Amino acid sequence: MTLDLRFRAAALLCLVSLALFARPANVAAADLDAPTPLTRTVRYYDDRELTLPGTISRVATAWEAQNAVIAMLGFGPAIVATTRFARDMPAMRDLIPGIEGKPLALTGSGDLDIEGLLHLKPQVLFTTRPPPPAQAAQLARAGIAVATFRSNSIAALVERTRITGEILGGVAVDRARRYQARFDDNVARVCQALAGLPAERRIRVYHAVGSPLSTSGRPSLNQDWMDLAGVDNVAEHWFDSGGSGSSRGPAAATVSIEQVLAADPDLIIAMRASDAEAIRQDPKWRRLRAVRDGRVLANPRGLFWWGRETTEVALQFLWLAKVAYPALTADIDLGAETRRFYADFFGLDLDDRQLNEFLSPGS
Amino acid sequence: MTAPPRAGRLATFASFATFASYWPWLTALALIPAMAFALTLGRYPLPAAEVATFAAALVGLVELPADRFDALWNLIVEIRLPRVLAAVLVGSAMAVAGAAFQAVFRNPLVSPGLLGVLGGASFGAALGMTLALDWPAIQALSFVMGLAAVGFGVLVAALFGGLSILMLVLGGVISSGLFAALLSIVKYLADPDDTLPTIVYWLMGSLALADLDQIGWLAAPVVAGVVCLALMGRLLDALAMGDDEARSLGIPVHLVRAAVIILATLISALTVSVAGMVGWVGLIIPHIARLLVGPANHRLLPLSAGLGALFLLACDALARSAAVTELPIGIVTELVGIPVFLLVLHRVRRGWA
Repeated sequence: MTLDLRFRAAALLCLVSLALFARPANVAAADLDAPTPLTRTVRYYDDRELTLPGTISRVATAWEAQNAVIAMLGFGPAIVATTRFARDMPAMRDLIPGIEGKPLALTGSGDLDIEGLLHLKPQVLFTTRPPPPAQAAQLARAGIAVATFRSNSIAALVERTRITGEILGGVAVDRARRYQARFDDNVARVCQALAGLPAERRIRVYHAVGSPLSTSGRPSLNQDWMDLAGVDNVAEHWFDSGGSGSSRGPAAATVSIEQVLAADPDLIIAMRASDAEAIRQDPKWRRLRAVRDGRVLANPRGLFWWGRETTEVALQFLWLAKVAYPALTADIDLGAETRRFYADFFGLDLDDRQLNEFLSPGS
Repeated sequence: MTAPPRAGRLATFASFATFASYWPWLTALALIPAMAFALTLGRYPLPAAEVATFAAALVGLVELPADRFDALWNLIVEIRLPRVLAAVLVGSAMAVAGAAFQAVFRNPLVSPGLLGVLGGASFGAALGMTLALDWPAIQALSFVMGLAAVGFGVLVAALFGGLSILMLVLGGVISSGLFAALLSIVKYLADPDDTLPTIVYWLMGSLALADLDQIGWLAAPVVAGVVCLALMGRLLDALAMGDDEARSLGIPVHLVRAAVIILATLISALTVSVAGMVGWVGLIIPHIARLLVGPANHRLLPLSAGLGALFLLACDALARSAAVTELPIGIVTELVGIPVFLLVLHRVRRGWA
């Protein structure tokens, strides 16, 4: 008993002294490269506040889709730590040379790589959820501002783009403003094209996100772009649970093939091209109308899948409306719109091969 | 005056023994209506009568329009039948393997994972997913790693003090620990957005991935293994008296023990590679069977196989029709298995106390 206590006391002493010796070293290292004294404060969502240096030159993201937002706002070269998909996406590699060699902001277990980040010293770190208190304190001591956002709705995505613009500052503010205008314009165009669409002619869509049998209902980002494209999500109410309101979890889960069979959608969209192929080949799916009619499509993918938390979502509902209602949307030239979007916002001039790879990804 | 009660007791014992010998057959018979009933369950609204009509059409009693027949074929044969068959195969294999392990190791708390087969198979599957192999290759790797883990456990036992029961248990503990660590490494290295959720989901067990082709090649070895184990009950009964007594009856103790372990390991690895981790079946079903027919292995093993099949059939029916979301079957077996196990403990505690 005494021995155990003594051992614990010794261990505690070791830890305390380690902490004491380690801390000044960190502070000293941070002081050497101290950012310019000029700081600014960005406030958003009523309750969040970031203190940032006057100009941003180093950013890190632990959020996959945020890479595309940062790149669109002109800060792609400032990314010092990134995520796995971003490093592997061909378009991202074209846009940000060297991204494939950037370190990852997350470790394999999905935690922030705190020591790596302390070493890389980004001025701001974007994450999907706030880090645990201990890590938040470590990041704060190192002067790394941590930006977290609301997600899983298209309104939140557009708002996040605007806030990210304010955080990055400089050219980003104006780009975010122009993006908002283009987004609103695309919404208006699709709305106008589908104005006369009677409710009984609306196309019913099943959306596979992540695996053939994973899907999502309301509320979700996927539901939002389906709403904008004038289609009905067959899974819209699958995850409703007795009206417990906002307290319930995300409206997404793995469902049974029989559930999809009973819904018999007109059109199937699979986020991954490999899932679309699996759905086309699997005998369990063969009786579905969409499969028999050859209406199983892979979701377009540029810097990220258009339907996910990327600014490219401004093209997602344009594409979906075009696929679902070709006659009503004959005025919209999707190829030209896609080229214009990437040229205006990313400075990318897509050739025919790239355009085709974006619209019908092969893998 | 003492004679009548004794005669009564003897008569009760005799009737119990006769009745007990019927249990395995009753369970096997119950499987057929249970499977037919399971075919009527699912999220697709299909009246039970339609399943009967389809069965009649299959044997040529009724004419069905080609499109209607094809739709029913798709739903009943391509979608529901593989799961029903997988539940029966996996359930009976896990339960009989568990009962056999409990007999060989003379310990009621033993389950088929004792020698590390589940840990090894999980590691193999996770490794296959991380390497982005296709499903057949993932399953093959899972199977091979399950066997490798048991091989490692047995090797450890052989290196330190021969193949005694204690050393085998310790070898299994070491092997399970090693492969659990390897699994953690693979999970750590796996892509947290893509591969990791697949691994985690697989580890919770699912019969949804089974298709008829797979069931086809799985059925022969699993059925053969289950039948062989069920028939080895009398040998295990002899072993239960102790190694020396069994030897004096002319039973090759080491050979029998090795054969049982190899068979149980093979069918466990096969089922895990198809269905993922389905816990509890191998542990609790033998206990329920013991409650019904007593400890004699020649009855216990066949009954465990039948009860295991029924139990997993029921759990899978719940997993695929209870909610819109598909519940992983491992979660259902645990949630259903724990109250059942508590009930069993309540009934048998006098015997163990």
